[in-house]
Formats: sequence, C-alpha cells, structure tokens
Amino acid sequence: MIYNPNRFGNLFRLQVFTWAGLLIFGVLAGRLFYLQIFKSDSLLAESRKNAIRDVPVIPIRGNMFDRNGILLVDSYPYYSLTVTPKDYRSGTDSLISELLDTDTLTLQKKIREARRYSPFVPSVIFRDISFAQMVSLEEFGWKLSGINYRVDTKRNYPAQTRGSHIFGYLSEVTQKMIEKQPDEYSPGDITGGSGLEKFYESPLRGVKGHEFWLVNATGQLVGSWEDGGNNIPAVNGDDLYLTIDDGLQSYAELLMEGKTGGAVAIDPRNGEILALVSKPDFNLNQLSGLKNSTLWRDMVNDPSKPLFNRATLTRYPPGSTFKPFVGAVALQEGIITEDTKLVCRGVFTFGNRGFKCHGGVHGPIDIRTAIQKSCNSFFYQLMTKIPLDKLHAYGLEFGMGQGTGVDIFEQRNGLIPSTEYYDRVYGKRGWTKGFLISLGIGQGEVGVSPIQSAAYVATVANGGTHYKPHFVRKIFRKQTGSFEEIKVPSQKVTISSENIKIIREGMRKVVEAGTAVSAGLPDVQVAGKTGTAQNPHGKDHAWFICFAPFDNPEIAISVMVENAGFGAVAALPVARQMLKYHFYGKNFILAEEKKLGIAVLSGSGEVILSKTDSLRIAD
Amino acid sequence: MSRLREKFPIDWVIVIPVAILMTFGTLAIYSSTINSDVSENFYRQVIWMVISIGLAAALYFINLKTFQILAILLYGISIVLLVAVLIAGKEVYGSKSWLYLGPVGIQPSELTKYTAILMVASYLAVQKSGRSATIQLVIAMGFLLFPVGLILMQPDTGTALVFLGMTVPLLFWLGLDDLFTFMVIAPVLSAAMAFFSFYLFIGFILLGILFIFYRKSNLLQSFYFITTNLAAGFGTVFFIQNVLLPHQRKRLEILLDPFIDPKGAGYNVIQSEVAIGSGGWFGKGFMHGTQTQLGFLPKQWTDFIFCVISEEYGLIGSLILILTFAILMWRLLNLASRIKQRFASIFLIGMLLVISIHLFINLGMTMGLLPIIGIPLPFVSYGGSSMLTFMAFTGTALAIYAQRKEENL
Repeated sequence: MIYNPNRFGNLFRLQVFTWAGLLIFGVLAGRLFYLQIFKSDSLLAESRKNAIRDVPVIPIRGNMFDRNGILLVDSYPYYSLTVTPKDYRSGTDSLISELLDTDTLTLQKKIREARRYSPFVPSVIFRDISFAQMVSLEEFGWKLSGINYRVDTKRNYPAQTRGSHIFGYLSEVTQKMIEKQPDEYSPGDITGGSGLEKFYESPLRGVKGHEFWLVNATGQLVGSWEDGGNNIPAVNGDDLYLTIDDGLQSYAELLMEGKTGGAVAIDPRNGEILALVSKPDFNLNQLSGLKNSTLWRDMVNDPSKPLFNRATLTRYPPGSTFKPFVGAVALQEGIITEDTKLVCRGVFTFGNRGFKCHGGVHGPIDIRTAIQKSCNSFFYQLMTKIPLDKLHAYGLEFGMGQGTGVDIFEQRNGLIPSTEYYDRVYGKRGWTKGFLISLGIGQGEVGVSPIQSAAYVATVANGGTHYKPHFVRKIFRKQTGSFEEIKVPSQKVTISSENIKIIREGMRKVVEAGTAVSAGLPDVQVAGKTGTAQNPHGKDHAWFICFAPFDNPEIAISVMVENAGFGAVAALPVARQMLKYHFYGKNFILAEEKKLGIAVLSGSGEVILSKTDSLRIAD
Repeated sequence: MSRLREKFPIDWVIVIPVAILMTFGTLAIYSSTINSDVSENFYRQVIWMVISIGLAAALYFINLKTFQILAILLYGISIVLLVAVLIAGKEVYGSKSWLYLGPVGIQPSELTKYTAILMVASYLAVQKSGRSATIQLVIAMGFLLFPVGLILMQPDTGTALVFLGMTVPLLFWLGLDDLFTFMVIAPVLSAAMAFFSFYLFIGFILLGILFIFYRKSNLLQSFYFITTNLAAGFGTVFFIQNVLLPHQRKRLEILLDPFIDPKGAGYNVIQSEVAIGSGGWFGKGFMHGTQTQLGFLPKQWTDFIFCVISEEYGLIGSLILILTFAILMWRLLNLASRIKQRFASIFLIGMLLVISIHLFINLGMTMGLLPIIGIPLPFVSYGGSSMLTFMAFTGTALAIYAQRKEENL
C-alpha cells in the first residue's frame, strides 16, 4: 500500500523527520562554520576592500628660508578632484567633463591611467579646481560615484626674490617615477622638476600619510574608519635654510633685468652662495610652482630661453678674468717669480703669427702689473711655457673644467683643455703649441660658467681653499624636530698661499689703479678683474670678477653679461652695486638712487648707469 | 496563579524561541535601516510586531473546534485575495504580490501559507477509512496545491516553492510509504547533485540502490530508481546548458562561482558571503557591520537579514539563531508526534515544514548554497505579512498546546 493512514506520525516518521532536521541544521551550521571561520580572513579582507578606502594624505611640502630666516618659498592649499576607479561609473563621464569644462576624452584617459595604477586608490585627475566647480560637483555628488576631493598644496613665493633657477619649478610625476617609487608617488602627485625643488625632492616632499575612510556602496566617503585609529599621519616636508641673502639676491635680479647672462655671489669663507641670478628668467609665481601647459609651452619656445640657467649651464670663454689663474700657475710652476719682468712690445709673435696686445706697449712688467694692466703679451709668453696638463690639473682644483657639485642638478663641466682633449679633437699630431697661446688670456678652447668663475674667484679670495658652492646651509628635519647642518667638502689648492697672495695683489691693483677703478668703494678694499669673452656669433660677452674686503674677503662675485660688447661696461656695475648692497645695506642703495634719480631697487625701472661707469674701463 | 496556569497553560518552549528570534529581527532591522533612507521601516516593523503578537494572543484563546470552522472561512478569504491580487495588485520587482488597503500593503501569498495548512489540517482532522481515505488525501492535497497555481501567476516562485516543498514530507507524515516517498524525492535530489558535482550524483545513486536492496525490494523498483534518477540528473544538466536562457543559466552558475559575474548576478551572493564571513567568531558588533551599515547588500532588512546578524554577531550569534530555530523545530515535531488530535498534529507538522523550508532556502541562499530565491527568514525578516503569518502559526500552536490531549505527558 502506497498510502496507509495507520502509519500516521509513527515512530519511524518521527525518526526520519529528526534525522532530516539534523542533516539540514548540520549543513547550515557547517556552511556557517566554513564561511565564518575558515574563510573569515579572506572575507574580512574583502569586506575591508569594500568599505575602507586608503586615502593618501599629502604632506605639506617643506618651506625654504633665506640665510636671515626670511621665508622665500611656502605652500598653500587647493582642491584636487580624485577618482577611485573601482567605484566610478562611466555613465557620468559627460556630466563631469561638462562641469569641469573639459572634454570627455581627456577625462576618460585620466581615469584609465588611474585604473592602471590601482582601482582601489583615489588618484588625482584634475588639480586646482575652482570653488565654483567644486560646488557644482558637490551638488551632483550623489550621482558621481567614486569621485572625491583631496587637498593638495601649491607653491607660493612671498619674498622679493624670484629665484626661478634656484628654487625651480614643480611638475607632475611621470609614469616612470611611479613605477620606480610606488610608495612615494601616485598619479597626480607633484614633484620637483628643477633647481632645489628637484635636488632636495626627498626631504621637501615629506612622507605621505594614510587616512582610512569608510565608503558606502556607491563609493562616497561617509566617515573615518574606527575613528581614525589606524590612520598614519603625514610627515610634512623638511624646511631648507638657504645660503641665499634675499635682499642681495632680489637686488641682483633687478640689476640683471634686461640683460642676458648670470651673476653669482659666493661667501669665500665657506662656499655659501649669497646670490645666483640667471637672466632672462621666469616668474615662478605665475606657474604657482607647477607647470601650466600653455604657459610652459610658451616658455620652452621662447627664443630668449628663460628656462635655461645661464649661471650654471653655460660655457663662456673667461677672457681676461682667466689671467690671474694663469699667473698663479706660472708662479707655482717656477716659470716666473714675483719679480720676473717680461717685456711687452705691443705685439707677441709666436711662429709666424702675431698676437696683438691692447692698451699700447707695456714694456717690461712683472706679474702684478701684468694683471693690473691686463697685458696680453705677458700671459701669451707665460702660456708658451706652462705645461698644458698642469693648467688642466690646477683648473680642476679651482672648480673649473668639471661640475661644481652645486646642489642643483643644472650644471655643466665647462672646459679647461688637456693634451687628451686636443688629441681627441684634432688628432694626435693635428695641433701645435700655437693652438694654446690664446688660452693665456682666457680665449679659445676654454669655457666656464658664472658659478665656476665665482668659485674660482672665491678660492683666490680666501687664499687658496676651494669650497663646494652650495645653496643649503641646514635642513630642519620635521621628523626629529632638529636641524641638520650641511657640511660641504673643501680642498686646498696646490698653489702656495704666497703665490695666491701675489695674484691677489695684482687684482687689488686692477681696482686701485687699473682697468676697474670704477669698482672701488670708499672704505672697502675691492680686488677684481675685468674680462671680455670673444663671441664668434655676435658682440663679445662681458665678465667681471671681484672680491672684498681685500684683507678678509667675505664676498666673491662673478658677473657675466652676454653680448654686452666692449669690456666690462655691463658686468662691472652690477658687481659693484652688489658689493655696495652687501657692505652698506639697502638704505644706502635707496638713498643713492634718490640722489641720482634712478629707480632700480626703489621701483621697477631701467638700470641706468652713471656716466662715469663707461669711463676708465678698459680690458 | 497556579489555577490560572492550569487553565491557560503556555508552552514556553515555543514562546521563548519565538521571542529570541523576534529580538534578533528587531536588532538586525534597526541596525540595517536606522541610518538608511528607510529608517521608518524599523518603526513600521515594531507596529507590525505588536499587531502580530496581539493576533497570536487572540488565537490562543480560540477553541480547536472553532479553528476547524474558521479554517474554511479563512481559506476562502485567502483564495479571494489571491485572485484579487492578480487583478488589483501592485507590481513590485516584477511580481504582482502586493495588495494595498490604503497605506497598508499585504501579501496574500504569505497569509495563504497559514490558511492553507489550517484548511488541510481541519479537513484531515477526521480520518476516513478504506478507499475514501485516499480520496480524502487527494482532496487535502488539492487544498494545498490550488493556491500554488494562483501564486505562480503573480509570479512568486519562492512562495510556490514553499508549498511544493512541503507536500511530499507532509504526505509522508500522513502515512505515505517510505520507499515511495524516497522514489519521489530522490530524482529531485539527483538533479540538484548533478548540478553541483558529477561524483556526488553518482555516489547518491549508488547509495539509493543499496537502500532499495536493504528494503528487500525487487529489481523493477531498482530499475525504476536508476532510470528516473539518471534522467533527472542528466536532464538537469542538459536543461541548464541547452534550454535555459543565458541570464537564467547565470543565476545557477554563480552558485558554483559567483565571481563569473561579480557586479551582476554574483553581486548579492558575494556581498552576502563577505558579510557573513567577515563576522568571524564574534562579529563586528551591533551597528558596526561595514557591509550592513554602508549598504553593500541591497534591502538587507528583508531576505538577507541573516547577513546582518552574522556580520555583527559573528559565528556565536548566528549559531544561537540557528539553535533557536532548531529548538523550536524540535518542539513542534515533539508535540506533533505526541498529541493525539489529528488536526493538531497535522497543523504542527505543516507549521514545522513551512518554517523549516523558509529557514533552509533563506539561509541556503544567503550562504551561497542555493540560488537567490526571495523568501523571508521567519520571525526575523522585515515584513508585515510574513510576521503576521508566522505569529498566526505561533498563536495557533500555543492554543493547540493549551488544549492538547497526549498519550502521556
């Protein structure tokens, strides 16, 4: 019988029901155990991935102060739009691009890049959005899944100093940098692109923090996870205390305005760069420290090359400013003594070539007078006797012919030639001693940048110690709250201090009664040397190097002005005004400008040189 | 006091588990709705609970004879409502199962679970003998299955499945032959196993043959068993692969691997498992479940309420919930087997089966064992009709307990 009412609810049925019930409860409990115990870790991780977003906290980039504690570079906040690709819905492309006033293709490209980096991490897609844009995006916030904001910082330059080539600009990180330093960088981050910003990128950047936020199912941040208990705060970037003197630097920038070239002032006692100007320059404030594409393109294409650091990247023949160095080498090599007199007949003949001296016939003169009068014949004669490779070796000691090691990346070796160089360029027997004669007066195949020139004159000024020129004196470490002093290497040159003393005296005579009398100051003894670099492409370049006070130098300056023509008409006044500023201060300059009716420091104006400047200057 | 206890005995083994389940429900609904845009749902549920407890209390005082008369009336009303919902019902998520009386919406299909069982129990209260016994059984099954047709027209597959699922076990309890019952159920199990694993399926068939020989049955029965089960198993696989539309097939395939469509069909399964699994031993704490609080599971206060409990109270909380159900089920089975009145026994078994099937399908789907079938967790899920229905069951069960006649207790 298939159906028998007598079996109703009997013991067997009770048992079957009981076992079936136990089986069902066993299966459910087993599955529960499997999910909540065995798979607990991975599912917990999954739920965190769902609900918790690791939002990077961008540290505030470190500030820069001048040597007197004046704030030169700081940061202020602005808003950036971020996307978390996992939460993003592509349907809102057109809405966002409309609100941001951009095209959908650009937006989609940025989101793709962000996704490639990480679908779970918010990446910046648009920076520095306006307040109005933010408000309108906020209005549609409920629709814009995965879209959020973050606060980034923008550079600000509150001091007078422009410092374009010193501080440098910022730029967005490249894909390569992200791959290389994935912990430090994510798409949309900014990084130093040049100058100190680039060289000191690591301390300036600081250490990113992490904030863990809860997001809801539509990807909106709704609150902090566990009240921020697991957050890792950002460590703000370290502050740089520079060697730059804001007053001198900004005045030098004004003095060089309208010129093309570079000016560098170094403290010869330690190699600290007091001022470094390259003109034409650019306005970092305009870029807000970050490359703006149209402005950037204009700058790159500008024929005057404002981005090019002429103070450190150029290679100009040093002209007559090279003579004290050649003299020092000759003294050290025993080719002459301080009393040796060589005769200048107005022309120097080597082989069948005649090299003219300017300023007439100097007659028999010693080294000091030769520097004072800038006698070409004298140095031609020295150059015939100086071994080329000695010249090269001493050049390196003075910081020429190789990178100065200054703490920005923009620098160049320059050229102090050696036998190896000529062999390489002309072939082993392809050149003669005649090729080298003009090196004696700093022409021909020799080249230095203004910073190399300044390091050289600083070495002469302090009696023969070469300090690496540098911009940063100390770094304020945010993590430890203490200063870290920057120690720079120094090296005594192998030229004896007696010989250095002799050429220093020659340089003093240049200003006392030589070719640069107008560089003299009433109560500060200045020593210097003018120079003209022959320029095959146009008007000659003007050099002036100097240091002061003579007995105990605290400043060494090198100024180079391109295409300034004869002598040091353009370069010398710049250096002289810098010396005045350094020794007499800002008020003196302002008073002087008032008396002469010019406005350089007192207002934006043309650099007008007093009439005397063009007089009594000879090379 | 003791006289009152004698006059109105209360089965605390039913009352306490139900109270625990309702407490779980209250906490979970509060946690999942109070910070959402449907925070009023919590208060609505509290009102429904009060009404439902009132209904259960009222039913408690009704005489068992009266229930058997009421049954016809209530069954009739629910059939009328099931027809009405097809005409005037409101369509929600593709099925017409809501009937609105002003602001209050009810689901007649939910209420029918109670009225149909009450009807079947009443009709079978007096056992007929001989040939008419079989006819009586067929008619009783008719009462049970007639609403299924109407419910499938809404269509509400979940509820229909509850009715269909309880038919065979109920028949078995009433006296259907065990081998026959096995022969009917086995192909269904074979179909399910064939879907999950070929080896499980073959293993089940071998075990079935052993069982048939153990029962000393003949070769014909074995042959019948093998053919029907092989047909069911292979038929299912063929059906899934060749007949089902891709989106239907996907709903089944996500059971094997929800990550084939993590944003679509697999989304609910994944998020549900994540919610449960991330609870661990002790859970994330009341109002601290991230899956729940941040809305990763849509409408968690209804069918996926178990995730809230698992996520916030962990394995400990979930086991307490399951054990509470087990105690309630054990009590219903225990009473059904001991109480002499047929009406009472059949009703309690019906109630046991309804709750068990809800529990199994609901937990099975939230834990990724069964496809997503939208039915609530009894006493726990949000929903007025469901709460009203299960409390009607409870009230009636308590009335049965109070008026029971046992062999020995």
